[in-house]
Amino acid sequence: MENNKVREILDRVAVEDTSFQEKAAWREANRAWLDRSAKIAIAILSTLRSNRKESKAPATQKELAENLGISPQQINKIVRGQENLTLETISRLEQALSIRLVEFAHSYVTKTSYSMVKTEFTSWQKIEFSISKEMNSTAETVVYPPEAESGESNYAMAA
Amino acid sequence: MNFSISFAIRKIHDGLYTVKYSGSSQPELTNLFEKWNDPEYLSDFFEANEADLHSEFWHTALGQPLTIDKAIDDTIQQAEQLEKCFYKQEHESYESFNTRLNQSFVSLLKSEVYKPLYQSLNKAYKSKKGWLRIYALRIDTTYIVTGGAIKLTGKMEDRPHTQQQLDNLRNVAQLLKQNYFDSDTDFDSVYIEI
Repeated sequence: MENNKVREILDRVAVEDTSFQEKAAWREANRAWLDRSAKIAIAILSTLRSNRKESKAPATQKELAENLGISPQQINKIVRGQENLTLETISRLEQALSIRLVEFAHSYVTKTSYSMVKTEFTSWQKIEFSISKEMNSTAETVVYPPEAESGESNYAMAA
Repeated sequence: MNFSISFAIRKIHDGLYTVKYSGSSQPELTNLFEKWNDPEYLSDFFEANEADLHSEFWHTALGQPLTIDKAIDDTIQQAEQLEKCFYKQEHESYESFNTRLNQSFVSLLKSEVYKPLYQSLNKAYKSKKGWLRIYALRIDTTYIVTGGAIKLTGKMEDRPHTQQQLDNLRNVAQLLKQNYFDSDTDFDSVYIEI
């Protein structure tokens, strides 16, 4: 049977549907965070599965929801990889499950009582951090690595 | 002849159609990629089929044991690649889109007939690492997607969920012939794998 004839027959009985094309386009546009959300979901599901085997809590989505004080529907959205999670939610999930969900590829500059603690970077790239002072509201930008010598410190502070 | 399925036809693009089974909220092509991007669905599926993940075939193909977590992660990545085959870019021509489908779909019958030969001779077959399949009926260069599956075993008959896909191909072809096409219309069962 000729192709045109085949399509003529099918077009008579078929309804056009854009759901595949629309959802595929949405996934493509949101791929970056969806990938991360899926990996977090996998880790949560893996931990719940492991807890079930070891008779530990939380072992179910319901128990996890109760632990966090949120709805089971919200947890279900998270384990389906459809939730654009906040850092607060990630931290609470980590605490409830006793696991680390997000690791940073680069270590970072931490501040303790206004002194900078140097930690290691995997490459010497210029990274800017905005750090708020705890004692006042002035924001400072730390440029790392330093572009110029700055005394004993390896950090150049730019106002 | 009575069949236990009923369905409607949905048009995705010129030359590409998909079945929407009664009782399902979405057409099959949409439904498949929703499931293959859903870690919860995949976790349940791989937990139920965990023994197949631990088969020698996958251990050899991947060079490491296949865990549920890795299987979920890999499936989402495979789905991303497979989805591109069916996604028509905004300015893509019909010819380009249809050529991609023609080059991607493989006859199921031929692959089953020649599988022993492929298995012994074809290195590509041995190095196959994907388990996602989309099944369709082909009439000339027009495709009607009937479903898809996560195929972890050698034959479709090996597991109920892949056997179901074979049944769907046969039943949909039969019902289309009964209602819309001549009985001698040549429906070829085809699939795309990744």
